[in-house]
Amino acid sequence: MTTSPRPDLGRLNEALAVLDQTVLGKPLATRLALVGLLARGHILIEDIPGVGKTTLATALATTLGLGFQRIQFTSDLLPGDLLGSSIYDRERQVFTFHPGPIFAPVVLADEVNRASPKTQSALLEAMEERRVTIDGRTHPLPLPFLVIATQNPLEQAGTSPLPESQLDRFLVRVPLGFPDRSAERQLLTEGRERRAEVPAVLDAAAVVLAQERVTAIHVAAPIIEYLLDLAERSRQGGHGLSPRAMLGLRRAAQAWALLDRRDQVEPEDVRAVAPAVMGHRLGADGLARAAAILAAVPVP
Amino acid sequence: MSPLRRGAFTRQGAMASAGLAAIGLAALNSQGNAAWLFTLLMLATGGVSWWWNRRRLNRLQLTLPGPVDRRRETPALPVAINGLGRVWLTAVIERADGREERGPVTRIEAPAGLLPLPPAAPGDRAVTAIDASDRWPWGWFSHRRRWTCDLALGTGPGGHRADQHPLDLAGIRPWRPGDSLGRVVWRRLHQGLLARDFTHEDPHLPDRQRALHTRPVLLPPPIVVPPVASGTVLLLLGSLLLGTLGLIPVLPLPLVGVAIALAWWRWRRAQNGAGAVGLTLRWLLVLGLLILLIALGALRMGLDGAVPVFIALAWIKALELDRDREVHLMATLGLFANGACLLADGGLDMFLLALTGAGLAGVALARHHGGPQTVGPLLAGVPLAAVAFLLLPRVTLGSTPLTGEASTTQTGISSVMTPTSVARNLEDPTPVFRVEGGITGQSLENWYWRAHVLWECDESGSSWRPGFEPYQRDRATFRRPAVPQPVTCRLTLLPGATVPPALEMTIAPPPSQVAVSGGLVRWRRTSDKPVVYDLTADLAARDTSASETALLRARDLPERLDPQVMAIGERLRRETPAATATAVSRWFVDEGFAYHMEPGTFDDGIAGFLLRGRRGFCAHYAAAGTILLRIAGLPARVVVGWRGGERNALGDYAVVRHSNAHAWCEYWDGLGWQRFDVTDHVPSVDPRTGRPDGPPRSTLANDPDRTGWWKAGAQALDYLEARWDLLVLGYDQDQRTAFLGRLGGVRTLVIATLSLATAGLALALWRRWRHRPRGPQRAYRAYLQALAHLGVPRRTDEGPRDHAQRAAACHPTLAPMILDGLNAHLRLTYARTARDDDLARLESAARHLKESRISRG
Repeated sequence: MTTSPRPDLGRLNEALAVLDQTVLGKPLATRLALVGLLARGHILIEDIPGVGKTTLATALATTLGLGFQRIQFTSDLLPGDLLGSSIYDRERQVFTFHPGPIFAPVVLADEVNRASPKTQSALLEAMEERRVTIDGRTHPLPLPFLVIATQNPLEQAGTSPLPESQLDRFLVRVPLGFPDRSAERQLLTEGRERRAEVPAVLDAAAVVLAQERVTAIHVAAPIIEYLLDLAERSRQGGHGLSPRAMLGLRRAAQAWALLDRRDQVEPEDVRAVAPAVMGHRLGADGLARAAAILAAVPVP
Repeated sequence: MSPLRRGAFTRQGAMASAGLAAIGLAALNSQGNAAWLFTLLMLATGGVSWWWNRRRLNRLQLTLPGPVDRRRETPALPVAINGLGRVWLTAVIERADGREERGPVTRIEAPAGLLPLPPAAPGDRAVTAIDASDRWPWGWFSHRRRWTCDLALGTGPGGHRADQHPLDLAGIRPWRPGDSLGRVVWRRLHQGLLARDFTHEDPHLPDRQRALHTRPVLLPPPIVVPPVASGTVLLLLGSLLLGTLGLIPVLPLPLVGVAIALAWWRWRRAQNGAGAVGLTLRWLLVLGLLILLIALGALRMGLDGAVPVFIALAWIKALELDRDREVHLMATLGLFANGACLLADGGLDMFLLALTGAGLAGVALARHHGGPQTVGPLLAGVPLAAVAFLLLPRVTLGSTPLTGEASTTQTGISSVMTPTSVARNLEDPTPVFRVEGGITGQSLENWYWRAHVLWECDESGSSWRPGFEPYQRDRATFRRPAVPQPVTCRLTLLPGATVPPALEMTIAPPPSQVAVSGGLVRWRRTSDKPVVYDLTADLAARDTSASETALLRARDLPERLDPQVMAIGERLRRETPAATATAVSRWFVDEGFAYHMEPGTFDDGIAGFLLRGRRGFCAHYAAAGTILLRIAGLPARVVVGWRGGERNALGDYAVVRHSNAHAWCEYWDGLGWQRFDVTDHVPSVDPRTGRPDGPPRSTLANDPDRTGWWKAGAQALDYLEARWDLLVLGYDQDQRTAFLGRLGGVRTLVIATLSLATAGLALALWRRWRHRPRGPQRAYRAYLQALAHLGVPRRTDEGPRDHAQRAAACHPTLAPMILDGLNAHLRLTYARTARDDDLARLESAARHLKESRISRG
């Protein structure tokens, strides 16, 4: 199981270290974000403004050497504004496709629940299919492709909450929250200048390579049984985890193991990513339910 | 927690179980086998469960610095516990000669208590071990092997100081306002808030390690000891109530009523959450019950007197039922009460009642201490008890059976026959004996069972008694017929029967009885329990035992005989005895006599019946027939016994009841005694018309007025009782010897038992070998077990890596070994390929961890 060169792993951890220096005091969030990227998933951050969502997204893009686009979702945002549109080129007498901001490796969809359901579904379709079809022509999205969507807490006015079927498209929901006192002290001491210093550790090709390595991480039979137990338990009453969620959980655990420089998934990997993968898929008290499921199913 | 090793609480369990044997031994001679079986059942289940639980006991091996000056010690060891509401402990000391001695088993309630030590003797060494159980260490329902609890013992150098409070141990002290929760781990126990200041434990430890040592893993949530659950109360009351109801024959009825009222009262209190009844009220009740017993005349010496007192005090105890200790006591009382029932009656119904009562007590104990695992040992005891019952020799001890009023018979054939006594019998459907074998294809109406031969009548001729040496112990003589009709059958004579029946004509008496003249059998030894015996009879044989004196006595006439009767008798005299008998029977038919169950009474005895009444039953016809035959010049006598019986549809046997009682005549025809039953010839009175035009009695159905399912149910019940009486109660020393003989003797039996045991052992070993986890799984299980014994069991929601890291943090010196084993396990289980030496590494880690545990102990 050594198809890709070792240095990749070292550089991944280096990237993680850089991310941790940029987004202060959020090791779990940065790690989960990287897991989401490596597992070819998308990330949902549900939190109040100003806690570092954009910082995380830009840092991720910069560190990994990927392009970055931010789209501020508003109620009047149209699908065309997002995906791009064909505009008539008067000189050449043809329609030319002008790609929208979604054609970037890392897309920050800010306050995704403020847009109309129509725009939301356009985004989510692009996330799932990883391509955009406009006027009968298909435009593939770049590789790697990661959407970080942020969502305001639902009780705020003027929002259209994402339906559960669409929440399922996000691989992980990352908790961000306020930084702790020491991280905030460091933040206040250093000011905003430090962000400019973020170096690029990887490039797009290396990220794609790492994504391929994730799929090669070994998942032993006891782990598969454990995943099945978790799925079965989650389906006892109420919402259950979809097969897509289970595939995502498996992939996320693989990515987590890769970040630990291991060639095989261990039960702790599943347990580490499970709350983030399961939480938003199990209804309003999803995190509590996920914790209950994890507590109830015996670990192999 | 210090490492635990297997040990034994043998004495208390064995003693408690052996207590039950007393009932069986006491009952052996009276109700014999039922009590015997019950006792064996209790002992076997107790023994099996003791053996079962034996391996689940825990021993805390102590290493104390040298001999301790016992004079300076208090006779008790202060113990603090944490993590369980209570534990049962017993201290083991080493005597000067090296013997181990255990102190009393003591319950220590959280958080602390004093553990008494065995009495000191010169040269004793220190306490060497503590046997610990999280349950009451009783034979039946004991131990869990795995449980976690902090024990702190006051066993420092120089022993325990008397002024030291047990709570000082383990740093547990009552919580004080101002305690910093950051540094004090506090818990709420049922006694109040307790604190344990870990900063005092080891000031030299670095902060991080101290934090690890004080992980709350070592302090599981406290267990509050609740009062006895109302369900348990109900079960215990039920057990005692069943025992009380079973003893009704020997208890004054008002006491039973009082017991039921007390049960209801206690149950209502349990439902309302109220505990035991107050002390003053209890004393008043004791006084009241004593007065009641005195007033009823039940307070007297002997077993009959002891039982009411026992029951009365047991019910007072039931009112105190509040805590653990009382649960055990109540269960024991219930067991004893139910065992005592078998002293009064050993029938199947009573045995089942006793078993149910004992079962309720057992369920209550199991429920109170938790654990369906107790059912396995209990069921395993049943076959063991059965084997012991079959093979153990019977012990005969002198004892007094409980003789309640119910066991004194009101009916039954007696040696004095009057119309009244026979009529009383005819109304009683109670079974007297059962006949098995030889009844197939036979008409039971022709079977006459002899009980007494009566020669002498009173002056009126209606009351008859043996008169003439009734139980002469000479061998009876018989005349074998030309065409024999041999019958061999087995009789089960039920308790209450006063005389063993003999089938007409018994030619070979049973070994336990003797034959006497008149074709009768008599007791060799009497018994209150069912007696089973075989007898061989020939239905065509005749009794020929008669002396000159006997034939003279068989001609005696009543003193005041009516001349008209004399005239009738003289008129019926014929040339031959057979012709005379025919003439007598024809006279009864011609004169319009009829069989009637309620003929009324005749002032002038048999003459009134013969001359005016002309309605009567067997007693009348037997007496009148005999007198007429004697007047006609034939020696004649009356025989009383039973005739017929009810065939059981389920088993090939018949039941003969008191209502089958019958009386008939016999006359001497020169060669032997010839049966002469007048009731076979006279018609019976039709109960609807009142006219004598019914069929003769011999063709009447003998069954009571029962039909359909009622009869089927009654027969099924009787069948069960018959099996019980025959197989359990009738299984005496003779039967046991015969059974052993059929098995091929004692030697064969021993060889067979040993072979079976070997085969069973081999099977058990093979199954264990077959189901053992193999390879990596087995090694990892051993690894986990070793860590669990080191006080770090793996939780079900904990991954292997997290667990190993926690264990490594708790045992820093063992950390390299723990982590090495973990990595090997992870590679073996989860990686695509493992290293060659991974299994060996995991096994080695498990072994080393286990050894480190032992060396630490």
